[in-house]
Amino acid sequence: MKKPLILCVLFISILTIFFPYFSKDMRSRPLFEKLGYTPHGKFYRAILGEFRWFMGDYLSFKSIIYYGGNVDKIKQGKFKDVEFYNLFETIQTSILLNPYNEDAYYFAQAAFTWNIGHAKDVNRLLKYVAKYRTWDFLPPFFIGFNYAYFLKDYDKAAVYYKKASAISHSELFTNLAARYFYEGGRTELGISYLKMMIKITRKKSVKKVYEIRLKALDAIYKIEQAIKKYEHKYHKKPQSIKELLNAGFLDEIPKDPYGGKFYIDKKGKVQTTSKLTFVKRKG
Amino acid sequence: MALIKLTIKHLIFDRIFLVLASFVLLFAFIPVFSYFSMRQLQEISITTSLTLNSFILLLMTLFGGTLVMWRDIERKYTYTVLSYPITRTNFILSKFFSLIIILFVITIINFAASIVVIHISASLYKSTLPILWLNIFAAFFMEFLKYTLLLGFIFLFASFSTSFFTPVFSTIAVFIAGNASQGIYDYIMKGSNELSHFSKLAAKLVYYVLPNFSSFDLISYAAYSLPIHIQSIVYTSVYFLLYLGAVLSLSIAVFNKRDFS
Repeated sequence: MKKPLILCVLFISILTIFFPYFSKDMRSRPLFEKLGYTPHGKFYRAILGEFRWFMGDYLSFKSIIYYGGNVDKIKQGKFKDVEFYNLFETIQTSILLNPYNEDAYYFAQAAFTWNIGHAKDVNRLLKYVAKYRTWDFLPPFFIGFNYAYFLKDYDKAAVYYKKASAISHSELFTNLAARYFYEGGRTELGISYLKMMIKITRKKSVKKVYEIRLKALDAIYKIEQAIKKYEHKYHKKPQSIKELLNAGFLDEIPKDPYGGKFYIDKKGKVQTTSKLTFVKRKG
Repeated sequence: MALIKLTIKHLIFDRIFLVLASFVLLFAFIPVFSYFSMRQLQEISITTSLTLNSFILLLMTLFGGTLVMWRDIERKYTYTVLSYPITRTNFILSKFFSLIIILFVITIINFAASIVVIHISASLYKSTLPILWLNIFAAFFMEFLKYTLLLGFIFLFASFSTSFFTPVFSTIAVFIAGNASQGIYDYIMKGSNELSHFSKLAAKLVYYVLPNFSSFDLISYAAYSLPIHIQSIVYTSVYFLLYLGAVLSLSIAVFNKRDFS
């Protein structure tokens, strides 16, 4: 009786000493091992039977957790350090397994459009989801937004905004689209979109990301409005934001929440040195 | 009837069976699991409840079926029972029905546990979809039918096999093939213009012979409150009765011919 007990205690003690080394090794493994390769959705779907629905949900959780763990790298614009390819494949498989899965398409829209520039691929996924979630206005709304904001295909955007309006029985989307098409307010469209996303987002961490971007777009919008007024009055483009300040069209230079500085480029467009990603802090 | 009672009693007190039944406790973790969701806690809890039920029923079917058939034969228990005035048909049917009763009771317990956990998850974040309890019950019941059919296969394989592994692994193979048959058939038929007449016929034959387990899957209807067509339920139920009848008759026929001496 005593011998096995002594052995057990010995093993536990060695394991306790060994575990930090083991854990360190796990942390140092290549990133793909953490998210992993996901077999193609069609293959999965064929063999999983009714377990496919759960597996679809599980894969979207896995992606969300992985993304959450790398959010600092994403904020700092270190996109190469994040396995975006595997992440997209995982979400794609998740959607193939459970096309009704709201988390999966919602996450795809949040993670792969703004900084990564995969609006076209996301739209492909969203169109697939929209075929199933016929009661949900969000997929056509997202598709329309992506076409307008990222892909600049306004005709297609109008088609999907109309679909979103028809499903939600709300004119909001068609009004939004109309305002965008006729007034050319890209920033305004982004602001409306973000306000809506903040309203319907549950996760605080995701909400925070949207709120910061909204702050930045609000600041850009403020400067754009000041430029318009300046042009109207002086019939020329301002060279810098300081000119707007001196002319009294701005009370103060708006702050970039990402830590960068706003400036007016040669084409007269408002830009920021942060490129709307968090500027790496020194030290 | 006495044999049914005795089999149920034996199974309930079996250690492996008790361990499997204790998986019901996992329902308590569903609200925690669904909390990871961004916007669909209710839908996740329904999907997970049905998946857990399916998983428990799968293990129960595989191990329960093997325990009552293979172990009894292995321990010469079957030989003793059959020396009493009881037909082999009655013997196999009694064993089968006692397991069906257990599967049904477990399904009901799981459904009751699901009602609680779905309510908890739904109260944490309001879904845009209503909870259709009838859909959820239908999905649970269809899972029960599915595993009853799978149990029929265990009995079929156990009726002629002398090893423990043949019925278990053959049934797992049938389970996988039965889940995949509809998807693969649809895929093949999509590109059917390029296929020869013989290949199409072969695909159709395999599709008809294999059990179609996808027809019992109502998880998406339950989780996303989609309308269930009564016609589909009726067709699936008729399919179930016919297929089970065929599998059980074959099992009885093989078992009747088996030499226990």
